[in-house]
Amino acid sequence: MKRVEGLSKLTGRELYVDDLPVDGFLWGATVRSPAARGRIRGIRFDDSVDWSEFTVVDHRDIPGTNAIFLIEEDQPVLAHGRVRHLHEPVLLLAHPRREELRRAVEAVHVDVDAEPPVLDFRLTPDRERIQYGDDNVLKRLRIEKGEVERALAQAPHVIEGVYETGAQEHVYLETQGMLAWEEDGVITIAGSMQCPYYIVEAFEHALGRTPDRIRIIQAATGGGFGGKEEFPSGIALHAALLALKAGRPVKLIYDRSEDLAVTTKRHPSRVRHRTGVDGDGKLLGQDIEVVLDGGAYVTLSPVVLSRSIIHAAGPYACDHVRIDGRAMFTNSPPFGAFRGFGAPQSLFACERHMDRIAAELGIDPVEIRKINLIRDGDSTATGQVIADGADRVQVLDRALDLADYYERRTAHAGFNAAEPTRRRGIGLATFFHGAGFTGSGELFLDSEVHVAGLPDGRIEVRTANVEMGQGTLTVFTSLVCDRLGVPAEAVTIAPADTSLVPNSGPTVASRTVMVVGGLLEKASDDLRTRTGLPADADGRAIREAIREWHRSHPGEPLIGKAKYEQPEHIHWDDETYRGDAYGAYAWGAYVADVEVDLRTFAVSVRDFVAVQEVGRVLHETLARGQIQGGVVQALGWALLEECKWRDGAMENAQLTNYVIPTAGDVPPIRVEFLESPYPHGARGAKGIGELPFDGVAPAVANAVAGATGTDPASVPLTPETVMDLILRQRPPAGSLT
Amino acid sequence: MLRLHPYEYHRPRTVNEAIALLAEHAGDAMPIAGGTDLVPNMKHRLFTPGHLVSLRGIEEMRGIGEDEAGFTIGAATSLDHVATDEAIRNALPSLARACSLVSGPQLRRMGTLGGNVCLDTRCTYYNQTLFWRKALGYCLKKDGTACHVVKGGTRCVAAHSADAATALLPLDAELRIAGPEGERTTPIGGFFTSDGVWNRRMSPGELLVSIHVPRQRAGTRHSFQKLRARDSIDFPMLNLAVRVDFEADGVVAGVQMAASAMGSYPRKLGKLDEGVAGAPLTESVVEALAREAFRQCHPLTNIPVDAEWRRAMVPVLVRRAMVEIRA
Amino acid sequence: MRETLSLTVNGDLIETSAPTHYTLLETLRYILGLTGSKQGCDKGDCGACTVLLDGEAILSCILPVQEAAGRSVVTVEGLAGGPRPSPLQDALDLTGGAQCGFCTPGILCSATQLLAGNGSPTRDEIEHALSGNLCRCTGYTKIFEAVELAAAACRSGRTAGEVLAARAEGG
Repeated sequence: MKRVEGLSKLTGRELYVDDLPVDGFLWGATVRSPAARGRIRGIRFDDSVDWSEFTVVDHRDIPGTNAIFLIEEDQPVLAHGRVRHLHEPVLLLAHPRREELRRAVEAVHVDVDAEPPVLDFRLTPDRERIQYGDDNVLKRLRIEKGEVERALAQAPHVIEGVYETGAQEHVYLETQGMLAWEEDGVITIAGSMQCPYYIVEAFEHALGRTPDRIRIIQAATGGGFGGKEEFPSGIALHAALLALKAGRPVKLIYDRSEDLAVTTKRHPSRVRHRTGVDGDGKLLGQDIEVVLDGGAYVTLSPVVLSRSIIHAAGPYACDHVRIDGRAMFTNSPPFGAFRGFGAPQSLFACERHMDRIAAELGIDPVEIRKINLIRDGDSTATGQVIADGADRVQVLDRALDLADYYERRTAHAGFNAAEPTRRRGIGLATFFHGAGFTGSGELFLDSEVHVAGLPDGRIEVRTANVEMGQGTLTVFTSLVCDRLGVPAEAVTIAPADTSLVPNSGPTVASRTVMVVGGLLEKASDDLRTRTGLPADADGRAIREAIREWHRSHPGEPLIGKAKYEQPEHIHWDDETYRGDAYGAYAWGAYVADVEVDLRTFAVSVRDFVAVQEVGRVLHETLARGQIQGGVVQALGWALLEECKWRDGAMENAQLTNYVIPTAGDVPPIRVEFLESPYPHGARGAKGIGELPFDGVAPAVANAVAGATGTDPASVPLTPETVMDLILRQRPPAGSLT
Repeated sequence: MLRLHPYEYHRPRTVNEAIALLAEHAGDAMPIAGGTDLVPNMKHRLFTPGHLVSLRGIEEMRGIGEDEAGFTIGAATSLDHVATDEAIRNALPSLARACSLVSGPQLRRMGTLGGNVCLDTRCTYYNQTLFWRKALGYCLKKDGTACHVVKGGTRCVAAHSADAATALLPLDAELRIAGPEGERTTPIGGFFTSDGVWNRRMSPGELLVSIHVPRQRAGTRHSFQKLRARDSIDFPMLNLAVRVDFEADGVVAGVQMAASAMGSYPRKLGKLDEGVAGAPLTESVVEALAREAFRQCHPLTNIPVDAEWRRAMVPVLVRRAMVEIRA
Repeated sequence: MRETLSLTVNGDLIETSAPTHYTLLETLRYILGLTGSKQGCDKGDCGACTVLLDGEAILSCILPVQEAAGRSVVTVEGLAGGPRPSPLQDALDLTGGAQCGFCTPGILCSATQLLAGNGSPTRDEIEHALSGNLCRCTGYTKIFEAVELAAAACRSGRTAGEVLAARAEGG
């Protein structure tokens, strides 16, 4: 099946928020904090501007609570009294013409009495820098299994390592944007987003409205990757506040520099490992500390931290594990959801550390993984017993096979011995990614989907899950077609418009196909049952029964429904962090073949193999697209992408100098899927959207380590970083000095 | 969306008309050729001229002419045209190469050789939105008094970031410049100054009309090397143009090098001939040249890429150029 | 300040009155209502705004609109030239080369120029031709495959779908 909205996108007809036709609207703009931390002394408006032409909104215009509702309510919609990060929104302006608007933004001066900010999450803050609780810790979590101290004390070898990763910007090609208007007393938003109902909740709190007076519509969305999970709630509120005050539609679209400077990014991390092993490399105890930079507000950091620590011990069986996690307050714009959601950071550390252990003990990096990989019946760090029928060693073997791992390793040894200026290496990573919300999160979401039978016999799918490039519309269509035996032309997908669709939860956490898709199958069954037909009824009969039902129930809706029910095997304790953290895990083994130029210190990836076990592949083309795209985005994080900070501001907030891979920078990527169906996922599927991000950076770093004999402990591995690694290892060559 | 400020757009048909327009609106007019540098800079409010004088409609400023003396390339000829012109590729491969490495394919079809020669210098603290620069308190190059690259510095050190201009230096190119007083010709070697605010010896009322590149001697070989993060789009983090003149018997008669993306002008390296002239271009000669180039080159922190690594790349580019030249 | 300009857009000769400081992209999007061409970065770093100007793929977000006067502009909306998608659009649809779709209009324009001048581009030539168009979803691979498929379709006079079907049958 081709992509449902494919031709619309290929002919330029698809309407993203800035493409929506709307009459008589105003453009909105945001006035931001000029300091990373301080008290707002006052706001001055230059006389050079005729302010009567402008709609001006500040915190006093917020009818409800001045907070963006999420886990905590600490982040104001508009700063009041004090600012906690550079570029924090303080004031909003709207005007019919953007030129005047731009001048007006420059004519507002936010005067701030600056206070000392916290800009490095790794340092213990002094007293005058404490701004959250009594230690600037936004969230603390711990996983404990067995007795790690005793295990480490008895272990023949204890190996330590500290690993760091930097911030990464999503660079969805479409910047953040919202259009807001009020219609018949209903505040309405159309915009670029992943989670329409998050915005409904945010509006309920900040605008003091009931949901029936809030309508959120997802416009075509030009990429999300997590960047349009929580951040859009704030910009939607800004657009809505302006529209409500102006009494006219308001369009608020960020330009790229603003988007890069102020929106969320992947959490920077520092992970410390202290690992006890025996002489064969068998893991005896894992003591792990994960610290994330949360930025200036809590936002999603507690759940990012949660996923980060749950994945921190890797896909390995170990009886004694302790993982301490902390998300730290800093005066940076808040870090947020990004494909992988904390797991890429802790898995980078884990997989780099596995290679370090192997190197110190003189063990093959393949063997140390093989003896430790979880077998069915083993348990994870949270004590979750894995028994999914997936063979993780087979996944690894298949990747090694596809990559010609051993042959290449031998060939590289010969190449490196003969070649004076280039070094080749091959590196691998084994990893896993839990699909869906953590622990009882899915239960809490209480997702609901509808599959409606229309009077003309067509079937309409109603969910709040969005298409943002990953193929939601196509997979949903194909799932319902298959379940009911109807052709694709008979199925339409309702727009993700909260006035039309139930809350099926956010489009995040690799949950859309596995969880929501599974609900669609149940709702399809429910629709069929409501028409009075048995499970073996064919599509033609079902469509006729739908038409017949409507003839006998004129004017009534015919809706098949399904609500999430926790599979019985899932038991999770949020207090002790013990139990079944996820309903299912996808498993991966990635192999990177790299060449390092000893003259330029540039790393180039020659070949990449991505093998994963994902339950069941529902749509080969879309699934491959997810893996290829995820691998390249993660290659950017591993090798290129670096946010440079200066006094709390991103210094390279342009695509000129925040650089992502171009068409000329991608290696051949060979993708293969293994399938071991998950009984509770749609047609056996597990989540795959985030998985490919997890295994790339460690595979590349391990390959660089192998090629150069160095021990990289951070990404991105830019040439300057690799130069440091290599020169630290041996005195610089004479020609360089 | 970053917007342009209101301006009047003029489309003269001749160089004289363009000069007259620049004179008529002196102080408030700028020429625009490809616009690939100027338009983004205007979006950042680095320039806000009330009048733009377009050079694209001026026939005499476009195209590539060849005669016995060499090549004359209209300043408004696109970089893509220069990069793909067969005659240029054969006779001046380092220039073709430099043009082919500027930015990405679409931009090269718009950007011009003259525009590349006249490219504004670039700096982390300058090529930013107005909001960003305001928060920093502006800088020497634009609206401010302090330099953020060299603390206490009084002279702007924004980086000359043009590839073709560096390649033209050892080619002994000459620039034909027209102005209200008439025309003049200047060697490119004397064209640039060390003032990053305005690094060209050319008044705002003048126009670069064409670039003349003399035919190279039979024994002369050139190479152009560029360091960038990706395979496309990026400005240079360092670039290097090398020329080696060989005697008929294959020994080196002389070596010239120009390097840029360090300070505010492409730097012609000195004293390269010492101990080299009269010798064959051996490994050890190349190493000596690489060492000497390293000694003379000092990238600054004016672009957000590690200056120490960029400096370490100087000998690397020298060696690469020499491999190409010896091939 | 406005100026009346005449230019050909997707085959139609039109007269339009645009503010003198508009780029071609702003004119297309906000005056002519052709919103297919996208604004990704504002200043020539991403390629989402790529259109064909007299057949050449250029960046419309940094082109003053006056420079399009008297010339022919083709945008994503005009690539098909009829009710059926172009072979390239068809091929991208089949290979899954469009995901979020935001870079797609620009990719199509760059690839259209490539195929107009080169009926059998190599993978290197395709990478090079598209190296000024950023894509964050696909990892580019399926886009490369689509350009190759479109070229094969054009060479053989068949549709992209027929080429794929023939390949599946080993022909």
